[in-house]
Amino acid sequence: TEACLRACPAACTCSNVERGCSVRCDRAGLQRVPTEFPCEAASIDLDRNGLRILGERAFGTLPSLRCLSLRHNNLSFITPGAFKGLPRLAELRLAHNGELRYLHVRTFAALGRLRRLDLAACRLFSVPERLLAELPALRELTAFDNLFRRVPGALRGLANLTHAHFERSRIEAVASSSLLGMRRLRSLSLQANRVRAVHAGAFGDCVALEHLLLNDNLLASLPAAAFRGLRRLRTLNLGGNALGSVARGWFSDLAELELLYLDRNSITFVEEGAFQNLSGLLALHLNGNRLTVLSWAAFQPGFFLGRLFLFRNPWRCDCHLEWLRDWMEGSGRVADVACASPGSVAGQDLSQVVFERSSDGICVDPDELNFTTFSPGPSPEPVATTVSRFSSLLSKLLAPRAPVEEVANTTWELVNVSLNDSFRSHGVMVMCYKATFLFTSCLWLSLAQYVVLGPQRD
Amino acid sequence: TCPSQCSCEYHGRHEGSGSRSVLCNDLDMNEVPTNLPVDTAKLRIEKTVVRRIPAEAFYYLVELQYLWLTYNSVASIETRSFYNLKQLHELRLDGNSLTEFPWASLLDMPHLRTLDLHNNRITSVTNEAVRYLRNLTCLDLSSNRLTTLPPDFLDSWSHLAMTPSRSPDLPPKRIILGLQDNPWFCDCHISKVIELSKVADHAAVLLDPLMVCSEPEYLQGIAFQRVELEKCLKPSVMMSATKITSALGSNVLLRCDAKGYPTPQLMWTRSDSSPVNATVIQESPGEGVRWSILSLTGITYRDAGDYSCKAKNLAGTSEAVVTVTVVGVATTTLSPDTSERSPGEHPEQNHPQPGLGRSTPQSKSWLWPGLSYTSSHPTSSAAALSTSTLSPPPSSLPPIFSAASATTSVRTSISGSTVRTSHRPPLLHPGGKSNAKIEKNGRKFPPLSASKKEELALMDQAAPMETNITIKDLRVARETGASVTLTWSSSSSSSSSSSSSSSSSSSSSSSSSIQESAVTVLYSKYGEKDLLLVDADYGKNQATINGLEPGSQYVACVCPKGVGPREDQCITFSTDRVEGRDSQWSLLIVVTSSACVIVVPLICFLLYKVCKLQCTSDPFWEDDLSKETYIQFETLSPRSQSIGELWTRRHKDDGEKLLLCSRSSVDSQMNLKSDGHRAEYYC
Repeated sequence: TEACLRACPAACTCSNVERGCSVRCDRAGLQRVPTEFPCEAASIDLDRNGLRILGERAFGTLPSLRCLSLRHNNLSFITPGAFKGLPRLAELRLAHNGELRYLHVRTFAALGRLRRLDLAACRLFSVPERLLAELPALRELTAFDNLFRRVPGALRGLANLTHAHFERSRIEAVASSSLLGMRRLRSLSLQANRVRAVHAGAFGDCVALEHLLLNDNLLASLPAAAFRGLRRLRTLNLGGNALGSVARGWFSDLAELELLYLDRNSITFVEEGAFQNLSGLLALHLNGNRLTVLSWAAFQPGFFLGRLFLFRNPWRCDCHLEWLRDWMEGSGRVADVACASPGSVAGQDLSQVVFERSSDGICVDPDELNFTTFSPGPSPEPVATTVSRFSSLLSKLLAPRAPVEEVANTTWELVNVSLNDSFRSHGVMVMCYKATFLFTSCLWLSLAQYVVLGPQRD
Repeated sequence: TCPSQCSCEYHGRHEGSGSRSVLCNDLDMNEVPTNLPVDTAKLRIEKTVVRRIPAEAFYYLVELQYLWLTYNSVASIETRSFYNLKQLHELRLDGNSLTEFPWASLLDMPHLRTLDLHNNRITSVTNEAVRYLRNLTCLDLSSNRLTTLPPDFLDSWSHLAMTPSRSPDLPPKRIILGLQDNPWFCDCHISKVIELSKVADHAAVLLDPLMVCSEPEYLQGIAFQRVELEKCLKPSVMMSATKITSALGSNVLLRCDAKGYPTPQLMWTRSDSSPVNATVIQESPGEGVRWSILSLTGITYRDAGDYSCKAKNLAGTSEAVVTVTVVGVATTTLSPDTSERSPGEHPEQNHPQPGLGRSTPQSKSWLWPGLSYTSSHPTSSAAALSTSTLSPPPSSLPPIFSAASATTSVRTSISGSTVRTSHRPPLLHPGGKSNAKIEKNGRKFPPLSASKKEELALMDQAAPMETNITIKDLRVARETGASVTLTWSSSSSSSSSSSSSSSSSSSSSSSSSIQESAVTVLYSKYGEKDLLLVDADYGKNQATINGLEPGSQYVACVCPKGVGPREDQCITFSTDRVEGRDSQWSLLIVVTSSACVIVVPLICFLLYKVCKLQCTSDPFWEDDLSKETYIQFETLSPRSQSIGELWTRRHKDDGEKLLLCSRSSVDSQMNLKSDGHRAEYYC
């Protein structure tokens, strides 16, 4: 016990806890790893310091160390062999070292008992194929907030991995070979990436998968065999994508599915029998889509006793949804189904819609609002406008006729004068000649002016 | 499954009876996590950098009861952020950066009892919020930036005051309010809160009764318990009476007076919530006082009941009630029926009269349009006529006049020629004399137009010529610009025959003397008295007058020798050429003016152009001068290369000057070495 306190580094705080000696050096402003740690150290916390480089055997030999945390440092290079001398290390946290970007293939060599590895927010572009090959005991890999763009190939062959977190790592596709050999994987999180395509059979080897999170990606379609073989899947989240319809074959193998999220897509159509094998479903999320109708055939031949979320859809509350209204009243597991059409029930909740019966006992659809009464409204106005314009045109046409006639008469008289007086025309010709002479002289004058003054401008 | 930055625990011995708790306290978490376990009952997101709660963030946590979002950086919450949290009991948002809270979101949390907004930056509580606070039992708004509250804020929990009376055995329900540590502006708006801090037993309890005013300045630092607000008084109401009994059919006036600061508003209501359909008059004679009168006319049994007058202002409300009772007798009831019937008859009588009145105006209107139509038509036609009569005169008179004159002249000339043809055959019958006359007539034919016009003038004077006994048919035979030829005929044939015979037998001199002795031809300008004698060759019955001025009128007289001229023997004439010249002159004026209109603007444009060019040329010279000045200035300091180039150029100029100079080579070398000034001096 005293050894733990005696050998404590200067900037750290050491204490004996239930699981052994705990060395806390977080926020100590360290630029370099302390040279000496207590041999009994079981947990070392070096978070939020200024460490840059880890040399070989950076922590010496600590046979009891189980948890090492180096989060929020400035690590840019980890020497291969930096973690030698830590034979019983079970948890290694390197999160939020944004300068790391690259890991040597033998960075984690000799960590035979490592179970949890945290590489979140390290801005890793890719990792070597065999980076994790010497970690047979690895169970949980946390690597969100990176720049992978593809599911890292280093995952292949990790037979003991159970949890993988790759949120917000800009992954664009799940290829057929991405998840080979991961037979014990139980939880895979690919949410908030840029996945556009999931290849058929991509999850074929993941026979133990229970939670598959693909929400908030860019999926617009899925192959029919996308989820083939996931017989133990319990949670499937496809919310926040761009799916336009729900195909029949997607969920045929998911007999144990409990939670199915299809919210915040663009779904307009659900095929018959799409949910027929989901007998254990507890909640189905179809909210935030573009559904106007939902056929009972989507659940046949089975029946659905879970909770149904249908809000924020443009429902058309006609006789095709009468089954849903009855089911709402009976089970109480559906609420908030706002009608968008027909017009007479727009804005109401489906539970308030009353479906009338005809004499034969057949359901009668609610009425659309009668819009024809408004159509003749605007028609009289253009007619009136046309009439007023026509009348104004008539008045304009009638007004100036008399002056025109008078002008014509005057012209006729002028013609007579010119015909009767032949001697005067001679005088007129003389004056025309003079005028022509004047015009010609003026033109010559202007031309001369232009010729003389033009060069000076240049 | 548990989100990567959270830890999930399950509390409970058995699987079915426990509850799940989720804690997310990663300092690096910046978004509300998705995919939380759906059976979460308690969710804590603490000490993270989450900044906003998106809409419907927790909708799938249908069993959530406790939602703690404490000490994050939340600055933005949407109205639907807490959608579908129907089991939520407690919502804590203290230690965030909220400036406002979406109070309408409380509708989505019907079971919410505790709302903690401590230590945020909320600046106001809206009036609409009052509607949503009803279900809360603990509301903490302490350590915010509130300066005031809606006046009805405490009315949100007015229903709690009713509870003790309904169930006296149960302990009274109370709500807890946290309002301390805010910069309060102590005025009438928060007078109810100030009163609350002074009262010991109230449905609302303050977490910390020590609240201090920040504004106005004279109340700064004073605790609420010791604040006395000026001009802030709860209204008090007085009624004119508490009970009124009135007879059926009579009129009743209810008066209500209210006092308070600010001036209260008055409103009448009935106890059974039926509408008060009566005349209401309100007045405020001064600040702090308002009265209202409710007028009930023709009172009936339906009007009986309780009328309450409510006064309300920022400081509170007050109410007074008056009971109205209606008393009636059977005989009185019958008379109204009779009166009702008689008015019924009157409308029936009046109904046809308005109908008749309506029909009469219709007939009048039917007549009126006809009248207006009739009157408008002649008006328009009259206008057209006036237009036609008015517009032609000024413009078309000269053409009409000239046309008419031309037509008249043509017809007159035709008739004149016919008359001559009838007269000539008897003259042709004599032998030699007839030949001479034929020759003269041949000369007359070519100037037909002039002769036609002269005949027109003669026709005008036909009446006075007939009276002449000695000389007849005096007329203008030929007319030119400066001369006129007159012809006439003698009344006695013997005189004419004697003259002709004597001329043929005797010599030429004797014939001329005979003619001179026969007649005298005189002429003068029109208006002048001086008569001039014609000094031209006299032919028989014709004389030519020369030396006339064109464009003027003349008077010519032919009289026997020895006899003075009389008016009947004279003729006044003015040549048609003068008329033609006048018309030509007018045409000249028109053409000249039109030419000027076209040419003068052109000349002005050319002048403008010339002036513009001259003005632009001057700056050019000024630019040259400035350039020279610039060059001279630069040569004074030849440091940069460009200045060196200029110096070189100047040197070249000096060289040129030296070539023109007749100095010796020695002087030229000295000039090269010396400054430019000296070089100029030597040159």
